[in-house]
Amino acid sequence: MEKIYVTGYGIISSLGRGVPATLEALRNRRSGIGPLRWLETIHSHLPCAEVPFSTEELRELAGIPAGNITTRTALMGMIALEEALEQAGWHVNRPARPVLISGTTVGGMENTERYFLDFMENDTKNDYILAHDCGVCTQMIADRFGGFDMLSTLSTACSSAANAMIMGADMIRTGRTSFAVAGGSECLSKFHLNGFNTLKILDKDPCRPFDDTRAGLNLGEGAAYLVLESEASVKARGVKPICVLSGYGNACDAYHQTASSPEGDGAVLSMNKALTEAGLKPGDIGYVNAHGTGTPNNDESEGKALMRVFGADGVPPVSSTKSFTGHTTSAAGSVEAVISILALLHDFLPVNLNFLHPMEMLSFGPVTDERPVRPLRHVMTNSFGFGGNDTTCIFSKI
Amino acid sequence: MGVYIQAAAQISVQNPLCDDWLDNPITYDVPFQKALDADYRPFLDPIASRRMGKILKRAIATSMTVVEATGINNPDAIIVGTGLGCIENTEKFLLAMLREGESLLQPTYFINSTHNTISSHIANHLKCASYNSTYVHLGVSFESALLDAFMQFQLGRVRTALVGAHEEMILNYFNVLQRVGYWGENMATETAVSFMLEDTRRDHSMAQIREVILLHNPTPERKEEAIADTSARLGVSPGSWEIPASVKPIFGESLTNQSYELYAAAVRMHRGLTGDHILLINDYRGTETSLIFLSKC
Repeated sequence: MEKIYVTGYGIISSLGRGVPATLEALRNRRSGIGPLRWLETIHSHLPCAEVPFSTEELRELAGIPAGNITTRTALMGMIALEEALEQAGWHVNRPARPVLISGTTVGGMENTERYFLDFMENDTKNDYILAHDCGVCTQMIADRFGGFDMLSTLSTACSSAANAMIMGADMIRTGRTSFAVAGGSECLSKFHLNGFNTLKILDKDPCRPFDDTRAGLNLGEGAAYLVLESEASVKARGVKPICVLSGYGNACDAYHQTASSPEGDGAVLSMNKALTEAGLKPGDIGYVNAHGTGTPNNDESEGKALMRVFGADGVPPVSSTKSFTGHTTSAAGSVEAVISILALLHDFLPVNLNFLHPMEMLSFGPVTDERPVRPLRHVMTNSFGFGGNDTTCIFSKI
Repeated sequence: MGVYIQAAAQISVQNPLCDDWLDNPITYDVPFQKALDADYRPFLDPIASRRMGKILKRAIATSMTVVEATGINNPDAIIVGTGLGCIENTEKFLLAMLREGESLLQPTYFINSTHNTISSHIANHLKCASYNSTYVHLGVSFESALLDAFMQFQLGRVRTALVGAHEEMILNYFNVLQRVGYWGENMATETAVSFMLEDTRRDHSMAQIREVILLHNPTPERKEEAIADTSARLGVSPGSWEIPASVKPIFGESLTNQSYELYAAAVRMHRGLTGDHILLINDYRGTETSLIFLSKC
C-alpha cells in the first residue's frame, strides 16, 4: 500500500505552544495539569489542563484582529496548523491541492453556552450563532491560510482527531490529494466539563492513569495537526519527511454509549487492524501511547486489550501522557500522535506521571523510566471515544 | 470496483419508510415542520424506545429497514453524516445548566448529546464492531460520510457499508437560525435517510455511485474541471449527466438534505424515470460544494 509520509506537525496544549515546548515538558516531567485559570465554572476545584494563554493572547498569536468572530477552538487550531505547515514547507513550495480534515465535538460551544439565552431573546450576539457549528471551526482554521481545496470535519468524540488522520491518509491513498492536513482542536467548555462531571469520572486530584488508586480523568484542551503527504509529493516538493503513518485501524466496541467493554473488544480490533495494515507483528511495536484516561473503566479495559494483543508477557512500554496534557478530548488523537512521534524521533519513552500502585489484573505497569531498552522503530497510539469509537495509529521511522 | 445502492429508506415530512412522496407528496405551508413518526414498534422494544430520542429512533428504523431489505445485518462500515447531531439533548443539558446552574445536572442528556451518539447506537443495535465514523461538516456532512464510505470500497477494506444522514431540528434552534436569515425559501425540516451500499451489482440494485467529490470555496472553473475530469475518467460525456430538479420542495431543508436528493435520484433511477447518468450538485452557502455522480445499474 502507498506510503503516507508525515512532513509537518504542530501542537498547542497545556504544555505550551509548539513542538519544542512540548518536548521539553515531556522530558522534564513538567505536567500541564493545574488549577483552572480561564474557564468560569463553580467546579474550580477540579484540576484541568488549560492552554496557558487567554483567548485574547491566542488571538494575537494567531494573528486574528479583535473584531473578528472566532472561537478558542479555532484559534488553537490555527496556531497548531501554522507550525505544521511551516515545517512542511508550505510557504516555500506550495502543494497543489491541499485538504484539511479536522476533528472537533465542542465546536463553538464556548460562545453558545455564554450567549444561548441571548440568541433566543435578542439580536445582540447573532454573530456567534453560525459559529456554533463544528464545520465552521474547520472553515475558520482553513481560511486563515487559504488555498485549501477541500475540507471536512469529523466528530467521533474523543477519537475525532485520530479518525481525521485516517481520512486524510485515505484521501491520499485514493489519489484525491497528495497533501492532507489532519488533526483536531478542542477548547474546554463549561458544557463538557459539567457533562463529564455528571458522569462522575473527573478526578479532584491530578489523574493517575494505570494506577490502582486511579479515580478519573482531568480535562484538557489543545490542538495538533499533522501534514500527511504522498511519496510523489514529498519528492516533487523536495521536503524531508519526518516519519511514516504506517498503519491505522478503526473499530466499534458496540458495547455501551459511555463505557468500554470489560475485555476491551473494540480496542483489540482497532490495534489488530492497525498492525495488519502496517504489516507489523505485535513485537515490532516499541512504545504504546495509551488512551489511558485514568478512569477505572478505561484503564482496566484498555490494559486487558493490550495484554490480548501483545500477550501478557509481551506488552511493550506503555504510558498515558494524559498525565501531562489532561484529556484533550477531540484533539487527543493528534496531540498524542505528536507526542508519539517525538518519542520515535528522540528515542525516549514519555513517562506516565503519578504512578505508584500497580493494577492487580494487569501484567504490566506503565513507563516510569524514559530510557528505551532498544531503539524505537514503531510506536502505536490509541484513541477511544464515547460510543465505542476506537481508533489506533502506528508511526514508523523512515 | 463498483459501489451500488442496494436499498434506501427515509423518514421525513412525507409518509415514512415508503415511496408515497413520488406519486402523492404531502404539501405543507409552514416554515418549519418536524418529521412524521414511523411506527417504531417493529424495530425497537418499548423499553429501548422510551429511552431514545426521536433522532435515534429514526436512525434505527431507517437503518433496520435497509438491513432487512438486503439481509446485510453486519455491514463492514457504519458511517453517519449529521450537521448538528443530537441537538435536542444538547439543548436540554445546556438550558438546565444555564437556568438551574451547574450543581443539579443529570448525565442522561449529556451522554446522548454527542454527534456520534447516532452511529454508535446503530452499531450497538446491530452488535456491529466494524468501522464506525461520523461527519459533521455543515451542509456537506452527509456527502463527507458518503465519500468516506466510497473510499473504504476503493481501498478494498469493505464490501458493504451502511451510510446515513440524520438531523433533528428544535423550535428554539429553528428560531435562532431564523434570526440570522439562515433559512431560504424551503421549509425547515429534519432528516433521516439510510443507504445500504455493496460492492456487487444485484437484481434489486437501485443505482451505482460512480464518484463523490467535495470542494471548498471552488471557483466555477474548479467545479467544471472536477466534472470534466471525472466524466473523462468514467467514460461519460460531460453533457450526459442529468441534473435533476431539487426535491427540497417535497422533503424540506436541513443540513443533510442532500441525502434526500440521493435517495430520490436512486428511487427514480430504479423505476426507470431518469436517464442513464445523474449528477447531484450541492452548493452550500457558497463555501462547500459536493458532487455525487450516479449511473444506472
